[in-house]
This record gives sequence, structure tokens and C-alpha cells, in this order.
Amino acid sequence: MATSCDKDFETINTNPNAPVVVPSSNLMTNIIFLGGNQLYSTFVNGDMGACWAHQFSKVQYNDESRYIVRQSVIQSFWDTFYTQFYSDAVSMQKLAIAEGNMTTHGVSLVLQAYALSVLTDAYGGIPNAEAIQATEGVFFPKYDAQDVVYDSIFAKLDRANMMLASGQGDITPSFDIMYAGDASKWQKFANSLKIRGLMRISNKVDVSAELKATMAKPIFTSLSDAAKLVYLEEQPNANPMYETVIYSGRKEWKVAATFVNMLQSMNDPRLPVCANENGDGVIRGKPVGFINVPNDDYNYDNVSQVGAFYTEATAPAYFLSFSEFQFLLAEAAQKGWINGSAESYYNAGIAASMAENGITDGNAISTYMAGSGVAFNSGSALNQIGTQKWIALFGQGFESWTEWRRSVSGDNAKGIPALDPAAEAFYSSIPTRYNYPRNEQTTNSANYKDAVSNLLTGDDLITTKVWWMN
Amino acid sequence: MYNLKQYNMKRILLLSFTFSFVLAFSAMAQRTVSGTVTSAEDGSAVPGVNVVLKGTTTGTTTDLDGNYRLSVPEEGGTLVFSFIGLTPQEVAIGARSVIDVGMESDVTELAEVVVTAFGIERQEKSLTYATQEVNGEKFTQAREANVVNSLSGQIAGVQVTNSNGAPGASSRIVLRGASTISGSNQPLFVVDGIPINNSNYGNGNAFGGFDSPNGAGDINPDDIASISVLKGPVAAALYGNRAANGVILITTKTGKGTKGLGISVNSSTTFDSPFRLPAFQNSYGQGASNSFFEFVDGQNGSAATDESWGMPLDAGLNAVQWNNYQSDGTTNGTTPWVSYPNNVRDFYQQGFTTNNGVAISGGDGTNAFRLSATNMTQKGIVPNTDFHRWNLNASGDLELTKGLNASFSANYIKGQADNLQSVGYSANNPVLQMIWSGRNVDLNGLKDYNNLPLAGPNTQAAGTPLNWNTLFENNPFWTQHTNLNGYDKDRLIGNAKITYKITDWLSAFVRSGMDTWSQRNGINKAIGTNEAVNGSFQELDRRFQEINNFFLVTADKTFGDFSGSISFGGNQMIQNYTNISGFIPGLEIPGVYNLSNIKSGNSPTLQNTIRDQRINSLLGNGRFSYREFVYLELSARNDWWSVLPTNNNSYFYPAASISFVLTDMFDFSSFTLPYLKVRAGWSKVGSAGGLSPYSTQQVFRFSQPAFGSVPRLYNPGTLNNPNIKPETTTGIEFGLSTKFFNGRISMDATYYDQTSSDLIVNVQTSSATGYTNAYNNVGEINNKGVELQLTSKIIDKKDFNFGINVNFASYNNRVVSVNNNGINNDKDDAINLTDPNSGTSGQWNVSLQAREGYKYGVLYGPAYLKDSEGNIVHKNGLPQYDPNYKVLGWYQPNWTGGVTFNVAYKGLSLSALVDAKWGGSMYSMTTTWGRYSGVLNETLKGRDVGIIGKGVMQVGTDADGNPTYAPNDVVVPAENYNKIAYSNSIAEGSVFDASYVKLRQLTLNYKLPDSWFGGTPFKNVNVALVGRNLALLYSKIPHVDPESAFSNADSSQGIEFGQIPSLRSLGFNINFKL
Repeated sequence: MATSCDKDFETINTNPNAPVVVPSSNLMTNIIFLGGNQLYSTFVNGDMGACWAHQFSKVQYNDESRYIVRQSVIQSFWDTFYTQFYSDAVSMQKLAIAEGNMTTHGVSLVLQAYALSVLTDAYGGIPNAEAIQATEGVFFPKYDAQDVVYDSIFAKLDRANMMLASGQGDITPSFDIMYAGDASKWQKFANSLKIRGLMRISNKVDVSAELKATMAKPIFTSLSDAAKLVYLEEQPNANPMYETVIYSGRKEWKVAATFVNMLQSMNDPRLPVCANENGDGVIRGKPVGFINVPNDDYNYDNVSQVGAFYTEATAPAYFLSFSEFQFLLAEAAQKGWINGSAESYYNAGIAASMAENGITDGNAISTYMAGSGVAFNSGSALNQIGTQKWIALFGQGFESWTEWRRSVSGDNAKGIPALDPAAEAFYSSIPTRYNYPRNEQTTNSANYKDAVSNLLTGDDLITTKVWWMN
Repeated sequence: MYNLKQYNMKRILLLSFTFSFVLAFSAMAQRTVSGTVTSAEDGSAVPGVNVVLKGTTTGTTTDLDGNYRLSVPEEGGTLVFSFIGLTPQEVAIGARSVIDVGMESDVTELAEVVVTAFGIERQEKSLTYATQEVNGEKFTQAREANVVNSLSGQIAGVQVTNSNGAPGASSRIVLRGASTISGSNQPLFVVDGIPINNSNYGNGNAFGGFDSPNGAGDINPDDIASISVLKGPVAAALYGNRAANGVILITTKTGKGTKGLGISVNSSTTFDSPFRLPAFQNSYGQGASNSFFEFVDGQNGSAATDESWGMPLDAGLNAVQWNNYQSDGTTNGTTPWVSYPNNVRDFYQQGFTTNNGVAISGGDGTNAFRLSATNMTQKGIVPNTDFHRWNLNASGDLELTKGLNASFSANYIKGQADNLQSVGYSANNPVLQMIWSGRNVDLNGLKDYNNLPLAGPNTQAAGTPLNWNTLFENNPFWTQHTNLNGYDKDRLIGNAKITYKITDWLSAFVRSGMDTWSQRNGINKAIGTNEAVNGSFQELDRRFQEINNFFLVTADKTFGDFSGSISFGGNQMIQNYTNISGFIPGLEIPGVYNLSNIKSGNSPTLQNTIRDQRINSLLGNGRFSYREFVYLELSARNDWWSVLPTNNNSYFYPAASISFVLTDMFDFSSFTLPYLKVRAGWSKVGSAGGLSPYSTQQVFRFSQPAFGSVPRLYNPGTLNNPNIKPETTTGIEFGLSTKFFNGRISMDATYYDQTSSDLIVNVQTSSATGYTNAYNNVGEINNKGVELQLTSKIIDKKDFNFGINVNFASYNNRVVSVNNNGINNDKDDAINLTDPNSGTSGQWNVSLQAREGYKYGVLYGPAYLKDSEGNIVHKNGLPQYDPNYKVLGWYQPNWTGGVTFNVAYKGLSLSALVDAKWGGSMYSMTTTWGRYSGVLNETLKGRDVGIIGKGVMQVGTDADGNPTYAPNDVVVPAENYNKIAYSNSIAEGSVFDASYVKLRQLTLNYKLPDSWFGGTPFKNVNVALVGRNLALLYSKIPHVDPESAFSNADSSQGIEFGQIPSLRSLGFNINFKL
């Protein structure tokens, strides 16, 4: 009787709305899109990135600028990079293995490495070896120390380099909204990302040999190699800054006084691209912070808004820009870790940044590059490289803050450039990580507590330093 | 197939005949009286009426045509006519030889025949579990548009929440308390034996959307003959897996029993106004820090401060205000800075609800039909909101041959609204800008929006009619007329049934029923709308169909003192649901709401879903009695449900219950205690909670809209579980029914204790697992309580009646555990309730939870920092926040109750219902933001001299390093205090005790004497004055109705913001028969 009473039930309960298996390439679009949206949201890119790095400054709603963070943002950053980016990249890998497609397999490894690098740079030690295994019944993943996570990132990128070089399998171009199916560009991204990772841990580990080895592989060689998502004209596929600032009319994101002053002091032609004129027709920044705003000193009208170029619908979301990459190489060369001229990498970085900002006036660029404080000076080269990288990373809030954090070491207690905490700040120092998201305290409590006591040199606070900063 | 009511009647007849036959021998016949007994209601003959000569044992019963003949003494005497369900009558014989009697029905007596599972009518005496019935009259009298609301306060253990006062708003009903975490806690609705869909497909929640009617609200109250509430799993076990929360059985009117033709007409109109509005201050206007807000273009300058911490009003000041703004973008001077104390009250208009219906029924005693048509129209208290409903109902009974009967009923329902009100924290909800507002704003000056200048080109509201604020809001009258939430629903609920009485002890019936509907929503947002500057449009079409094919064979035998009835049956449920939705995020041509009108470059969001499921069931039921004082009922059902994994999809639901009529058993029935029955029952019912079809297999989904033309496939964040099993509710109940003083007072008491376990929950997991949630069987909820029902007829005279009915129910609800089986090792066990539409629950920082050790529906959020004695800790005069979130309350009450007073004098009757809900909490964001923004009356406190917050401040530390405190004595400006004490960062100050006592309903009915209508076709003319939601007699929540909710979803209860006020309704009702 039982069998006749549930006849056809398996068929009836099979989902007709969605596929069980899809081509591996098809998962790329959403991973890249959501990753871009998360990194370039006004919360992550603006409030907790560019404001902490003194590039943006807000005239209202300054809690995050004053280091009072919204736990929902901390949570959603973690959720997005784990469940939508890393997890989907793992799904993509499984599909690629089933297809025997080494190329998309390689891409899935680059994406996994990218998610891990963003997560570990934000939080410190994170679950990795036991992560993304719910389907195997692992619901309490242990946290790995940051150096172990970085080892895993490099391993994934090395395997990606190999697979992307194999020529076995194709990426369906339309789903690849980063490189339109060009496997060689993914290979360059894999190796360039590895170089960024090596530089990030270089305060702690001697990375010279690995850097040299990686330099021998295909890496970024031109602006067109940059890893970026170019957004579309209309929301919700437009740049997140556009969607909040222009489409939704939230105009509180302005430029920081530190940034404006620095660029004005060097007559930087990028300033009018990065900042709009205020109501009085001049570019004026605002110090980061303050509880009671707006007021007569700093209001919506008399502080410059973030430049229109950066709030355009089609402004790109950089995953790794060519200018940043050049500055990393300049630093490595200056420190003697790689061969080549620090000066030429430095100059290439500035030129790339000018191009990224749409500046084509060659005279203006060469005048600037010859100017005092800009022209390469081997005595203060590391400072110059750091400062130029910070300017070039304008609009990439998370990366600006992260690279600035890396510069806080040794003699550079205030980092490069030297930054003071925000006015009327909640903490007396600029945040150096995200605290772990609240849900981890309840859903993975034992491992969370273990991570806090063993992997952090301090409490689970935003002012505790991550491993590579120490 | 026999009908139990007929069966009982025949038995009564048989007994009565025997009785009168025996008596006849002892009587001394001297002359004969004869006559006909008819129903006073419709004039039809009443068979089986006892006719007894008072003070003697002489008597007889009426025959099938209502005729009787009786020998009486020469000197006459008094005849007593009695029949179950009718008011007994005494008639002096005098010299007459023909005495015709019209008998009135007795409502109390009628209630003793109760509709139970599968529509079987049974005597209250034989019931072995808690069931309560409400007569159809109540629904006609109450004039509630949504039938669910009229159950409020009427039945012990029923909790009703009416979401808000917008036309078409949903209502929530819960019997006995919450029993599931992921599924709906509402009972199964069954109309004429057919389960109907009670879903609400609106999307109203804390952050916007709109509420729409719950499915049961489609039923026309005028078509309802009775509603039986099967409260617990014992009564409902026969309905299987969808009945874990009880069953509401609705029986519609039929023409059955009528002879000839009857027409009844009903017409009512009620006038609606806001029940409760916030108390606003009228002394200070828009601005912050006691300074002016000078209107530039509504957004620049001072960033559109939408608060009322500005300059004093009515003090002879003048300022540039919104109404100084000119079409060319300049302002023309200033206007006086004065208050508009009624600006909010005047925003609302007179709403009304009309209901007109006609019903025709007829028959020849065996075959019968009934047809009815009803229209209901509601016009809301908020401009341009409406709701219409048309109900057509047809039913018929036909005897095909002797023993073979066919019947059918069909309800066609059309629901329609041009605009269902937007709710929540959305600029489309006009109430938002009454709370974030300037008290100097003449809201009604915005009404003539067509003749106002347009908002400036640099503002968010650019191009739309001017508003007092153009950054966060649009002109509210413009929004109400352009941003419409359209609604259209066509629904057919019907069944056909064939009954065959095979022998006098064996019968069978088959019934096929269907509930099918299609619903369309069109959601328009005009270009320039704050939340959609390019405008947007969504078209949503849903179709639903459920078919139930049911058969039941019943054998029925009596052996001496034993009688028994055994049934065996089966049901097949086939359900199909589809929806298709198109959304365009921008409009190319203004004012055209069509999916083709997509703004150039935009991508549409296109989605469709198919959801099919099936339940096959076999069931058996046995009812046994011994000498009609011991009753035993056993039932069993097995369901096979397609949504469950094939290895776990078969589930067995047993139930057993027994009752003893002690008064009969031990023969101690007396005038004081004529009746005493005790009962006990046990049962087990299963449920799939919130599990929907296809939840056992992992798939990739399409995220919409596409990235340009590239579809975005993803692996969903919820991990499905191929080994999920059903939830189980096991319950016991004990009851007692008794009558006192010859039935003047009756009481029914029930104690229940039911536990739901293996609750299916989409458990939150560490995202590092790759999934944010995973389905699993976790947790257990226990519900215990007492239900008490008291009915009295304190005065029961021919022309004067007075009675009081009382009901009371306590709820001891407890989330016993949310043990999460290795998916989530939360020591602080709690599960967030999720909204079926938005996937979130709660608002701002407060979440609604099922939390171990607490009642279901915990409000969990940020609390004030307190010292060990519970005083709020202040620093620099401002309250401090506790770093940890806390349990701030829960929304389920401790008890509910209702008292109905009925007084009748001749044709005039007055009925009043007072109901109460005690315990439970509500988080009121109206209070939070109204205090933060300085618009509420209480924010006047300390505006001139500042505020000293009640509580303590730290003055040092003791030897152990712990802080020491002294009373806070720091004065801070009122604005600073209110902004820190009430904001989205702190919820505790806005969580209130939700207890209330309401004068729910008042009805004054007058039955016009029939003699007034002699010579006309009018009969039974009633006029009634009806008042609903008349007064809040007790409440601790300020400013809002303590009953508010965003919708009827479990996850939208206990929280409130900017609700459309609930309605106070006054009106009249006329009905008559032809």
C-alpha cells in the first residue's frame, strides 16, 4: 500500500524551476558581480574604507567614520565572500572537474584565492581548510591562522597558473564579465594577485625568492590586463557608488581634507577628477569625523563631493588595478626583492593612475611627474611610492585602507601617508581589521573563541592588528 | 450515506413515539386538540416536536408534516411544545380544538449541535474533545469585512490580530499558541469540507510593501451558517498534516429544510474613522538645535532636517517655508511660524464600508437550493485606498432516488482594489512623514498637488509636486494617487458530493472539492518617487489550485446498550501553484505602467515559479457509545506527502478520546446540576512546517535581473536536507462540560498540554560552511493552557432576556529547545523568525526569535546599560547602551478573554462585547522616531530647562574596581536626551506592555413587529446599529493601537511603525425576508 500511496512523488517533488547542473562558466558572472558590489558598496568602500584612509569624508552620518561600525555590514561582508563568492567558486570548481575543463577550473581557483585574500585581510585568521564543506557535514569549521591562509592562497594561485596555461577547456566569453573568456588574462591576474599577496605579508616573511619566481610567469603588463568589473549604465547593474549617491540621492560622501591638501600641495591634475567643486566653485575637503554635522563649517554645500568620475554608473570596480600593481613592483624593486628599476615602476604607476583617471594631457602629466615631491628620489622612494599608491587607490576604499595598514610598521607609526584618527573618534587609533561577525559567536562559537584567543594578539576588536601588520 | 443530524432526529422521533404511546394508555381522553407546528422563521413544518399536557404524562409528537393530535381533558389545560433547538412554548388550550404554533429557534440550544470533522453534525453531548461553534448570525451582526476579525473575543483560546485599518488588510488567527518556527501558526480553514488556502500574498513588512487580504477573508460573512473551531490536535487529527494548528470549519448556508421560496436581503453601511492617533506636540516647529529650518528647495541648505526641535510655534515668528517656494525656484518671503494641531487628523478622511446582499432559497423539503449575491465596498480613511469584493454563492441538494443524494456548493469570489495601502518605513507610506515631520507643516495645504509648483531640479523629488520635504519624501497626496498597489483576485471554491445510503446501517459518500484562484498585482511607482527616481512597475500573476477528492464509508450499528459507528475513507490532495512576475526598474514614458515601457538601458527582472505537491491519505474513525453516557472515539490517519523525502514521507496520526456524562451515568441530574460531562483525549499530528516543495534537493538559481543580457546563476545560501522529516505535535486534553440551574448557566472548561517537536527550521549556520542556513529538524515547543467558556441566561422571560457570556484562555507557551543537531552550536539558543516574503523579520536592530526557555516570538535587541538594581546608567547625562543585545519582551499574551452582554426586550436586543489581551509586548517604532524627531507630545518635557534622565551615573569605583553609582543629576538638552534614549541603536525604551481591554463591539438590534408589514411581503425585518472597535478601555502603549502588525505573518507581529490606524466603525444594518 505504501508504495502505491506515494507513486510519482519523486517526480512531483523534482524542482522544475532550476537546474541541478550548469556549465561551470555560468557561475562566474554572479561571483564577480556580487564581489564588486560588496567591495564597492558605500559602506565598505566609503565609510569603512576611504573614510578610514582619509580619502572620503562625510558631512552627515559619521558613525563609521568615527569607528562605530554597523555589525550588519561586517556580517554581510563575511556572508557575501563566503557564501556567494568562495562557495560558488568551489561549486564552479566541482562543475569544471566534472566537465574536465582545466581553464574554468583555473578561474575558479583564482576566484577562491581572491575571496580568501579579501576575507583574511579584513578579519585576520579565518576558516579555510574546513570551510565550504556543509555538504560534507562540516558545520563548525575551524579557523586557520593568517599565514596558513596565505599559504593556501598561494597554492591555489600556483595551481591556477598551471591550469590556465594548459589550454584545455574554454571559458564561455559572455559569462566572463572580467576578461571576456581570455584565459591568458586570467593567468596574468593569478600571478599578479600572488605578487600582491606576497607583498602583503612581506613584513613577516621573506618573500624575495617567491617574488622573483612569480615575476618570471605571465603578469600584468598593460592597463588592459587590470582585473576590473566595468558596470553597466543602469541600476541595479550600475556602480554601487552611483546607485547610492546619484540614483538614491545620498550626497553625504565628500572628499577628505587630508586628500585634498595633499593633492593641492603637489598640483595634482587628478584632484578635479577625484573631487567636484563645492557651492563656492572651489575644491574643499573636510576633516574626517565629527559628531555634530552638518554645520556652518562643513555642510552639504561648502564641502566638495566625491568626483563625478567616481560616481558614474559605468565606473569600474577594480579587483587589482594596473597602477597598484606597478607601485607594488616599485616597492619590491626598491627593497631589492626583485630585479628592475624602482623608478621606472614608480613612473609607470603614476602614468597608469593618470590614465585610470582619464587624464590624457601629456604636458600636464609630465609637469606633475617632474614636480618636487613627485619626481623619484631614491632617498625617500618608499615614502613616495606609498603616497602615490594611496592617491592611485582613490575610490578603492578597502584596498586603500588595507595597503595603508600595511605601511604602519617600524618608523611609520602613522603609516604612509601619515594619518591621524578621525575627529571625535570612538577609538584613539584608526581601525586595523573588522571584528568577526556576530553570527560566528552563535553559530560557530567554540571555534570562534578559539580563534580569538589563539589567532589574535588582542581582543576581537577593530583596533586589533592582523598578523601581517605585526 | 446517512446524515447524523437526521439520524439523531429520527432517534428522538422514535423515542418520542414510544414515549407517547406508553403514556397514551394512562390518559383519560375526553376531547381532542389538533394543530400544526411550524417554524416561526420560515413557516415550514417541524416534525418530531413533543406536545405534552402540562402537569401530566399525556403527550405526543408531531408527524412529518408537523401535525399533531392529542386527547385532553374537557376543561382544557396548558400544552407544552418542546423540541431540541427550539424555544419551548406553553399555550393555554381554552375552548379551542385547533391550536397552531409557530416555534422560535433557541440559539443556545442550537449551539449544542456542533459541526465536527468532515462536516458531520454531532450533539455536543457526544463530543470527546474541545470544539466550539459560532452561529452565522454573529458574522452578519458584526459586519466585519474580514470574517476572521469577527471571531475576536468570541471563542476561548482564539487570538485574532487585525493588521491595520487599510482596506483589504489581513488578519491573523492563532488557536492555543504558536507550535512551529518556520511554518505558519494559523489553523487550516475548511469550507464545506474543502480545505481552502488562507495565504496572504502581500509583501508588507517593516520596510515597506503592502498588506493584502488573507485567503479566508474572501469568504462572505453573510453566507456562513456556522463556524466550528477545532482547537487542538485531538479534534483535528482526522485532518492530518495540515491541522497541527487546529481547524476552522466553515459551513455555508444552504436551502436545506426549506419549503417554498424564501428571499432574504441584507444591507449595511458602516462609517470608519481612525481608532487612535499619536498625540503630537504643537509648540515647536521644524529644525534642530532650536534653530529655524529655512526652506531652500526642500533638500539643500540644512540637509532637509525633518525633525521638530526648532523654533517655538505661535510666537509671532515668520520663516521661509515650503509654501513660499515658487515655480521658478525662488522663495517669496516668509509665512507665519504657526502650529497645525489637526494636520494629521485632517489628513484622514471618512472611510466607509457598505455591504449589500440578497439570498434566495427554496425547496420542497427534500430538494433545495440557495443562491446569494453580495457586494462589499470599502473606501479607506487614507485618500485613494479601496477594496471591493463580490461573492456569488450557489448550493443545491437533490434526492436522486431513495437513498441517493447529490449536493453541491460553489462560491465565486472577486476581490479588487485600485490601491492597497503601502505600509512600513517607506516613503510610499504617508504616515512616515507624520512622524518624521515639522509640526509647522500644513499637511493639507499639499492636497491640491496638481496646482503646486514642482520640486526643484536638484532634489530627489525633482519634477513631482512640491512637498514640505523633497529629500526623503514625496507629496503624500500625489503618492497616494500615482503610486498604486493594484489587486485583482478571482476565486472559485466549490464541491460536489454524492451520498448513498446502501442499507440502513451502511452508507458512503464521495466528494470532490476545489479551491482555485488567480491573483494579479500591479505595483506602480511614478518617475520622481523617492525610492525609485526613474519610476518602476511590477506585474505579478499568481495561480493556485487545490483539488481534494475524498470518500468515506460509514457503518453504524446498535447492539443493546452499545452503539457504534465506524468510518473508513481516503483523500487525495493535488495542489498546483504558479507565479510569474515582471519588474522594470525604470520607466521610459512617464505614466505608462506596462512592462514594455522599460527605460532604455535597463534590465527587467523576470521570474516564474511552479510549485506542485500532493498528499495522499487513508483514514479511519470509530465512535462508540454505551447507553449514551460513555463515548469513545478512535481515529487514525496516514498521510503520504510529496514535499518530504521519499524515505520519510509516510506519517501516521492516531487519536483517542473518551467522555463520560456523569449526570446520566450516576443518575444525579438535578435542577441545580442537570448536566456534567468529563472528557479526555490524546493525539499525534504531523506537519511539514514551512517546508515547501523541492526543499530536499540542491539546485542552482537565477539571480535577477541579469547583468545586462547575461544571466546570473548562483548556488543558493540555504542548504536543503534530503533527510528532513515532519514535525510532530502530540497533545493531551482534559475537559469538563456542565450546566447549572436547569441549563441557565453552562460552562465548558478545557486543559490542554501539547508539544510540537522535530520542528523544521532553516537553521542559521556559520557562513564559512558555504551556506547561511540549512534545513534541519530542531527544537521543541510546548503549549499548555486552560480554556473556559461560560454561557448564562440570567433572566429568561418571554419578553425579557439577559445573559452574559464569558470566555477566557491562558497560554503557557514555551520554546523548550532549539537543539540544532550539530548544525549550529549556539549556546545562546535562538532562531530568527523569517518573513515568508522578504526573508527578514523585525525592524532596525530588533529581531523576532524563537528562543530557548522563552515564549515564541521574542523581541531581541539593544538594551540600556543598567546597574545591579536595574537603574539605567547615564554618562554625561545620557543613557548608556549595554554592549550585549537582550530579550526585551515577546509578543504572545498570557491570556485573552471576552465578555458579551446580551439584553433583549421584546424585539429589541442589545449586545456588547468587551475583550482583553493581557501580557505580551510590542516594539513601537512610532514612539521611537516620534520622540527622536521631537513630534510627540512628551518631547515637550524639558525643552526650556533640559532633562535629568531617571537613573544613575558612575561616581567612582569600589575596592574591587567595580563602578559605584549615584543618582544621575546631569542636565542635558531635551533634544540630546531624546535622540540618545530613543533611536535605532536602542530599542528598550520603545518596547511596551501590549495588554489592552477594548470595547470591541456594540449591537443594538430591533426586530420590527411583523404586524407593521401586514399585507406586504416583508417579514422578519431587522434594523441594527453596529459599532466596532469603539473604545480602548486600557492600554499601556502610547500613541498606537496595541493590536497593530505589518501583516498576518508570524514574523510581522509584535512590531509596529507608521501603521495606518485601525478603524473605529459605526453603522447600521438592515435585513428582511420576503
